[in-house]
Amino acid sequence: MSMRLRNFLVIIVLTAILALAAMVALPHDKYLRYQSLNDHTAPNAYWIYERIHTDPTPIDIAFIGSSRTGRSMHTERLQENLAREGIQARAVNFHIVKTGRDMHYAIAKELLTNRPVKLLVLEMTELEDRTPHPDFIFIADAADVLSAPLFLNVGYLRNFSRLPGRQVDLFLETQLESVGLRQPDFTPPSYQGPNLDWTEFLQTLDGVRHPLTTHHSHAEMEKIRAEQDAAITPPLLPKALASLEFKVPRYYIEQILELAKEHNTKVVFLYLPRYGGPKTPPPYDAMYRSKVPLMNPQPLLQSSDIWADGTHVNWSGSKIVTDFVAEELAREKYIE
Amino acid sequence: MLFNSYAFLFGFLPLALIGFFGLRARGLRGPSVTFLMVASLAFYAYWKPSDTWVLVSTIVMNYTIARYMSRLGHGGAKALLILGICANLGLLVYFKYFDFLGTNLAALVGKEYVARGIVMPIGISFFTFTQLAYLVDCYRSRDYEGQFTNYALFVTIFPHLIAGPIIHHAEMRPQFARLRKTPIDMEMIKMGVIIFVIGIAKKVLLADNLVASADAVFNAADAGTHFNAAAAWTGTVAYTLQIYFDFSGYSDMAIGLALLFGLRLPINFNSPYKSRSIIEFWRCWHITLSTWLRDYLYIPLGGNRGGEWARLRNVFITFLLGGIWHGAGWTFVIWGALHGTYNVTNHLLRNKFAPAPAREGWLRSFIKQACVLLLVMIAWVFFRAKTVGGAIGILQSMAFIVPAEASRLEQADFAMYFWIVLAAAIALFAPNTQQITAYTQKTTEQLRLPRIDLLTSLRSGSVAFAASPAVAVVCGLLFAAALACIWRPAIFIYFNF
Repeated sequence: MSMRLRNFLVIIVLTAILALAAMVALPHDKYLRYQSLNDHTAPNAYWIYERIHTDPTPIDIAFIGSSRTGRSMHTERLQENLAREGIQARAVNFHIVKTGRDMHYAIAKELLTNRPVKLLVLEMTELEDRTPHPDFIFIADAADVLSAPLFLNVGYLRNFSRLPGRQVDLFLETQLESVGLRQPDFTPPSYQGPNLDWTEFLQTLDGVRHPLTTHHSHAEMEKIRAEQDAAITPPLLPKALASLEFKVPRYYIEQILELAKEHNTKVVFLYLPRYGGPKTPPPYDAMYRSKVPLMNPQPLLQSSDIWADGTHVNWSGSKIVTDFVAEELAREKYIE
Repeated sequence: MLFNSYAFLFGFLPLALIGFFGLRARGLRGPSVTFLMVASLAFYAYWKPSDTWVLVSTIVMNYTIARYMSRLGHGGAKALLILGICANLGLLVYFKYFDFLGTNLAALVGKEYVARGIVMPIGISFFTFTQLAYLVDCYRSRDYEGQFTNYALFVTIFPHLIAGPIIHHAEMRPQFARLRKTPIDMEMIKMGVIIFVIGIAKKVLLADNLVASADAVFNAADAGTHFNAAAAWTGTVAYTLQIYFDFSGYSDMAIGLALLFGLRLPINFNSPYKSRSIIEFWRCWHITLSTWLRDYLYIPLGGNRGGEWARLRNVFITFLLGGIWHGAGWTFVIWGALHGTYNVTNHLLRNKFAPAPAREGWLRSFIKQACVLLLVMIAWVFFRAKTVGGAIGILQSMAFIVPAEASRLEQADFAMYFWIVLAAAIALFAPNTQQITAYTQKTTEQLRLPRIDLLTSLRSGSVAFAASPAVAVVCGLLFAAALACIWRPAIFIYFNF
């Protein structure tokens, strides 16, 4: 018994497609998914999940962004400042290191669909990253990986190809854990409380606290700035075609704004420039000035003493940004 | 690019097939062969374009030498052959062994040697051996490949270029001629698809899932960690299975890919871990290298022509050099020496005792198989370890000679043991690829997949089955599972050699 080559190949291809689709549909424990993103020097994805799902402490103000947000916002200090203004609000820093708006969307979605949030503070920088976050595949729902914009999204195929394997791995780990046979690659530390701030120090998984008090001379910071200027790729296409070049970040910002609207959450941008960055963020000026308010601490961030490196403020800088944000929140009545 | 990569599966391979069959569909069979050669060079250049000059210059050099050799008398041809061998081996020694020799010679005379950090062009061991065999064959037969394209394709054809199987010109020449004249049998393509899927499943689903277990033990042992016996055995068994499924998976993929282009490559593995003697093991493991070493090293050394002791000496030297071929390091020297010793001992025992009956009792057979496996595993410890100290540490642990503070394997979990048990069961009890597909490398025999369907085959206890819908579904499932896993970058072990 044999069959024609074409039929043989068609059956193989169809079976493979169906099998891959079935893999993508496999269920798993989402907490394991958040634990899988642990290979950074600043791992906090597991904590983000714990804060959203297991800690009933309210989340009134949520900060979402990259390591710039992580190193700028000290939420406990912010709460204390707001309390002095008579505002009782709980703030949480949900940053994830590295840039990519798709990751911000994944975190915002997880947060807003599970917890009521009064105010979402979204990081804004001097230049949107055209590329998706390299770790989106670790955190995102399968549906969000599949429905990500395909055109001009350099990460789509990479994430798409990794999805079936991720789903199978997570499914098997979930099953093994349910029968007590899972040996995790990573065991999250005990819950680290409702505020995990990495502005004064950063605590790595080995329990070591790394102080974030580094600072540089003016000359050193200027040198760093010059190096960054040389390394940055400015917008490549003419302004009229910016919607193409920045299609991916803009798509996800719109998704976040829609999501926030659905859940009655106010959104404010927080501009966190690099050292020597422009006075206002060009992406904000181009797209969101009329839609979303902006908090801009840029004039306060000119001294070289408050920078740990070219893009992150140190502990002194963090106090400046945090105090500024507290004042703005109270003054503009973004939170009451 | 790796066979188990999206770039290859969804980029290079479809383009190569479209180009090749597109030309053939227009009656351009000759150009389709040229196209395959160009595609193969592009495949090689993808790794590191700057290394392509080494490959291309050796092709031009060996083609030219063979061409002139056929025109010269005995003395001239022999001189040219020696020149060719020296040039090929010189390149291999320079790229592969220069730093190793420099370091050891300097140490011998008490001087310091600063390693040059020479990066070996990928596949150089394989394409050098392929071309050395060609030169020797040309010298012996006074025949050479007239068409440069055919010769270049013989060396570069992408399924075998990086890590074999090592092919002979005599095997490929009639196939290239046929490729230029006749259409490709569709049965070959079906068989090629099945064999490729088996190969990628072996590599991605089995070998790559054993890497973590083996690496955890060997890397730590090289860094000075002493493991307990269980950990050392787990790492060694995992590596024993990993290297088998990695290399035999690669070889299956190579055979499958060649079939898609109407070519047959030689079989490289034949269930080696089922062997009941070391001699049998080497007839089933990396068969094309063993054959090459026999034909171009053991026999020229004198083979069995000088009496028993000379034969044993030649066996030992052949295995020793076979070990050195794998890499520049003392661990490979020891691995080769161990296998040389095993084989010499096996020959001595075979001479001393009466040959075993064809049908042995299961216990006797089991004991023999277990002994062979144990010896092979001991040798693999040296093959895998980066340092002799690391290898000895693991062997001590396997022999329960462990310090009180010996570490256990932290990563040990259900999944790790599941993959080890599954892989062991397949290596020891399952039929191999050629048994399943009835593949034969003999071009005189027509390739025909078996005519019985999967269920009938299973009911009758047979291992071969036809390209039925059920087989297509199994292939689809295996391919999907492999696709789901290939995002993890995992190079083939033999790409390092």
